[in-house]
Amino acid sequence: MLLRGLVSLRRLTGMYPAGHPAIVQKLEEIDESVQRHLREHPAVRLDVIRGDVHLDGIAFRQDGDTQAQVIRELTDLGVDSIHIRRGVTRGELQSLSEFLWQLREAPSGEPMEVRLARRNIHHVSLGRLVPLDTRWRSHDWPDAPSGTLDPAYAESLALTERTFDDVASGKGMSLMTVREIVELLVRKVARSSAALGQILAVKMYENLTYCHSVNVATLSLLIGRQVGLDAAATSALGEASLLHDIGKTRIPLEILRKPGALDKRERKTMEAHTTFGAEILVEVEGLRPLTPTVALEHHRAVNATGYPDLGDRVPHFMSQIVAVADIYEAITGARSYQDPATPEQALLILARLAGTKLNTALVKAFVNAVSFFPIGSIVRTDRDELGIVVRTNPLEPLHPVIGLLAADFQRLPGDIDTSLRTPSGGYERHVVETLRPTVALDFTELLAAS
Amino acid sequence: MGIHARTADYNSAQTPAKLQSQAAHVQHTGNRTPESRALDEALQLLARAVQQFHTYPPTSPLCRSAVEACQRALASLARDQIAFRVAPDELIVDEAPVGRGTLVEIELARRLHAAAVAQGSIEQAASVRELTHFCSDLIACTQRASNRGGLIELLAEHGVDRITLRPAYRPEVLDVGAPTGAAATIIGHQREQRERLFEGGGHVDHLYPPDKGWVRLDPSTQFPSISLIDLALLADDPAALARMLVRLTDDGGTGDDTDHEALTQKYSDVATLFAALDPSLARVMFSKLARAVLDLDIDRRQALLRRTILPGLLDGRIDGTVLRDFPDVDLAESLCLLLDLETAAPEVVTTALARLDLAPEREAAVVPLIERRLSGRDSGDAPQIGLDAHARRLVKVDHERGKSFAEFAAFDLALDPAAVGTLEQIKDTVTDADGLDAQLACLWSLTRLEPNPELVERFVGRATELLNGLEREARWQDVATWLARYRELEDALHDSRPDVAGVISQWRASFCTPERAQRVVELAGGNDESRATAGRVIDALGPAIGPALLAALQSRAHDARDAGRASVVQLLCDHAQLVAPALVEALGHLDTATERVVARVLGLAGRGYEAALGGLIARRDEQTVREALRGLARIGSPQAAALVRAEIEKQSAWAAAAEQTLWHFPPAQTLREMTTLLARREFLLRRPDVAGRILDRVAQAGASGLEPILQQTAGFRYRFWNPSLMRLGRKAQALLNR
Repeated sequence: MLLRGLVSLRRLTGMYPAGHPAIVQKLEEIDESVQRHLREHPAVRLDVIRGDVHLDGIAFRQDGDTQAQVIRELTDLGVDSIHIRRGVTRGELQSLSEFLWQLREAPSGEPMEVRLARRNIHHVSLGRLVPLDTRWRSHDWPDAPSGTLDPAYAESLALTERTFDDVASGKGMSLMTVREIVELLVRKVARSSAALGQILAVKMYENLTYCHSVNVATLSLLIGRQVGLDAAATSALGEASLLHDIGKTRIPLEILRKPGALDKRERKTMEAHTTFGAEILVEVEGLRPLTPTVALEHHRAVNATGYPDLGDRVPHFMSQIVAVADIYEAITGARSYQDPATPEQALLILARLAGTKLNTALVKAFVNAVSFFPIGSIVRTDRDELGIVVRTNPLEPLHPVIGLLAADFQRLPGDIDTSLRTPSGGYERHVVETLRPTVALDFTELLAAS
Repeated sequence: MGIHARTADYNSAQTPAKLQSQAAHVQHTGNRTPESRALDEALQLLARAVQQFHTYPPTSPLCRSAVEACQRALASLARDQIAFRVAPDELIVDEAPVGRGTLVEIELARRLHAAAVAQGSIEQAASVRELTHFCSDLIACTQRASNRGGLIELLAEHGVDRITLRPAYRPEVLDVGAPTGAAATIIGHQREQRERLFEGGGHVDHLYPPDKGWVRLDPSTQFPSISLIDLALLADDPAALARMLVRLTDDGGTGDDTDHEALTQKYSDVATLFAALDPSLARVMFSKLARAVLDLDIDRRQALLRRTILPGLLDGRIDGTVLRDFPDVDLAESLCLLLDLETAAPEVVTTALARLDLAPEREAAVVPLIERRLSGRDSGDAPQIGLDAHARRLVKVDHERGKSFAEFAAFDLALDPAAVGTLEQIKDTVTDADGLDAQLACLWSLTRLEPNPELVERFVGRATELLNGLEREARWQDVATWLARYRELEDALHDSRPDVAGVISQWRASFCTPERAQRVVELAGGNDESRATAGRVIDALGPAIGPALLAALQSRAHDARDAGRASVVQLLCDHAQLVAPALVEALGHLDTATERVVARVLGLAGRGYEAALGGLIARRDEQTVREALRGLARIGSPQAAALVRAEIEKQSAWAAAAEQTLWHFPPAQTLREMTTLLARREFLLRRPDVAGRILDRVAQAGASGLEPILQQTAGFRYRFWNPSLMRLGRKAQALLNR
């Protein structure tokens, strides 16, 4: 109505002399409806977007020639947005209609704001709307790991995919299959160096829920081993970590796989996967007691932040284990706008999150489970010493015992324990890099010298 | 047609406007099939329900009956759901317009359109509760004054699952005005670069929702579209840019500090956009970003530094770049925040400093500032060696030759004794995990989070099985704890989710079976600890346990020496206030022995039960009456005292007992009632002996204001024909003379 009024006032202004009753009447009508709107809103915002008129962001589509004509008349002037602010006077509206009439006759490169101000129109702005191009270069990663996989790992992936598909299609969860996968993970995958290597490494694929779940389960079992869990607790951990993201089967795929920023509603839906997961799992008879709890809590931090809002409750230790594995897995997995982090970067991130989001002891246990410097590694310390790792320190994953080497990789007498600390508690030295010697070395001889 | 008119107008009073509107509707729907008519009918009824909610409070019977009528109409449909699209003045169902010119237009189409709903569906099985929420939420979100969330969010918040709505396309218009000539040139240059980048092939996706943002330019500008990078340049202010980005994801707040909040939320994206600019331009923008960060209030700035900027620096992400543009003092202060990380080693600061890759002279200026701050902190945290020396050593690392572990020096990741201890504790906790407790905790949390009462019913149903399990294992402490937690939850949800609170309340009541009460009684018969636990269970179960405990008492009424009976009585007395309402309700249907106990319990329950105890005085059983009188004395309220006084006045069979009882009230109360009695001439004439006794005791107690009573009573001393009365008169005279 308002837009039509403005356009028709513009026409009247062109047709009749100023002060003509038709102009006065139309102006009165427009002024009244503008002022009425401004009493409740700070501005009248009329925007023509894709052929629809939006008043304050709400579309008013009306089919019909008149509407189309009005819109065309305005957009032909290069204007598809009229914003009127509080304080506008009837005089300004009249000047605006005169300006709009003359706009066609006198195009100019001068900013519209200046031209309007020249006519004492200070509470109206005219604009042109162009779409915001939000394209961004991204990676298109494959959906699943490729190449030769550890057979047990591949089998567990296939079984998990089936289980998740069954839940997503409403068929329910086969407890037998879940048990079978957990058994496979505990007995084979978590004990296979090849599988662990594939899971710990950078993952050049976008993790679908089922791959992620298998990986998180395996990493959780790795932490469980460090913690020293017995067989029953290990199986419980395997099951809980495998199913921790089962709630994602209820999240629409378009949200789950959306590459860019999620809006508020989508984010809320996404975050609901934790409660959905717990809801699904409490209904399944025969699961281990902590499985739904882990699904509910795996995005909760040790400082009781995160989602869902569970008040001050600190997550169960089993949820804390899965949280460490979950974050590591997510960081080392590929994302549309982010290259996967290397294991070292991921561990540094875990170290940074320790104490606030993650349990510090569990982060340390996880770091300890990763072999940074296998025996025989050639390393350099921050004191510029060259050495060969002759022994690892069980509780100091980053501070092995090294045998000193000369610049030509000849063994020097004496070993150095890099885990030794200064009286203030800091380390005497750190290993800062590993080296790949270009010459062939006799490792047996180098190690035997220790 | 006729059916429509009848059912739609369950509320008989019709206005001409209503009839006119229905006529229009009927005319419009005249050619439709019976199924379409039934569908129109259901929508009309829904619109009418919305109208009622607009007019009357949601608790009104009119609202309720309107919703029920709508639900009946929905249930009678042959289809599973009504799916519709929303037009400004009608709904589109099965590609046919519905409701223009009727209530559907006014109450549904217009409101849904204003609430930015594009389409929706109402399942045939939608419950009265869900339809009620739909109506009230639709009204709430379309009322201008309401600052609550959108309709879709409100329905989700209220657990409405069977009515699903999809939002309308809602563009965001980002006003940037006219760029200056120089800015336009720069943007043009950036655009060319960007286009070349896209031409090179590779995967392209959307960083922000496509089609959502529209940039409002001055009509004099000629750009056919604006990219996110262009937007960064046009906005020319990190906070303003952040605010625009926030609008693109509907995260906008309404407070005064919206710019600050937006920058905190979208900092990473702003940094990413700046980093995509030409290096020289990026440097300028990052310096603006640094200023914007420093302009944040201290809490927000520190939070942003801790959460995003410093981690970004350590992780090698673009987020940390901004620190280069911090003034030296701020940079030093910011870097020192890293030491708050739990696993941070003192070297973390130098590692971060090395990451910044500052010019040597700037680094030389910053290091002393950091050292000064570090020495100001706990001296134990300060590195033993000079920071500059350490930094020099880090510079020596040749990154190209191998895998660098230099940054691990920033963290102490050794499994120290504290960590080993924690791992032991974790092992024990996980190994000995209490399954029932863990499951109950999970169900409790789900109940707390879930707004849909139907789902909550399922959760509490599962909880019943688990609580039964605890009971079977005789883990009464845990039973009590969980029941208490559910009771607290019910209280907490009472205002925000009354229907969920109602489900919990019903569930807790269903727990109060006579069998369970019997088991609690048995528990109470044990040692002190068991008795305390039984008490906690009863407290947690609440008033609903009253009837069950009463039943337990009645089942043992035959033997007063029964230990179980004593336990029930003790439990009832210990929780008198809690069980009293149920006991009062049962009065009149109880045997004498039980009534006696009830009288005792009501006395312990305190004020509010005087009338019930007064009723028990009328019983013939002396013990019951004495118990009731004792109860009234225990309550000690004016109302209780008046009841006892009335018993003396009436000269009932229990008058003597009542007289004795009255002396057990608080002294002031007793004297007031006794004085009132003595002021009654009728009483003095009928019970001069009793009055004499009372007069003695009242006088001994030193009651004030007795003079008028004594003067009146003294007149009886000449009634020689009634010796008792004469004695009373003389006594009064003697007291007067004293």
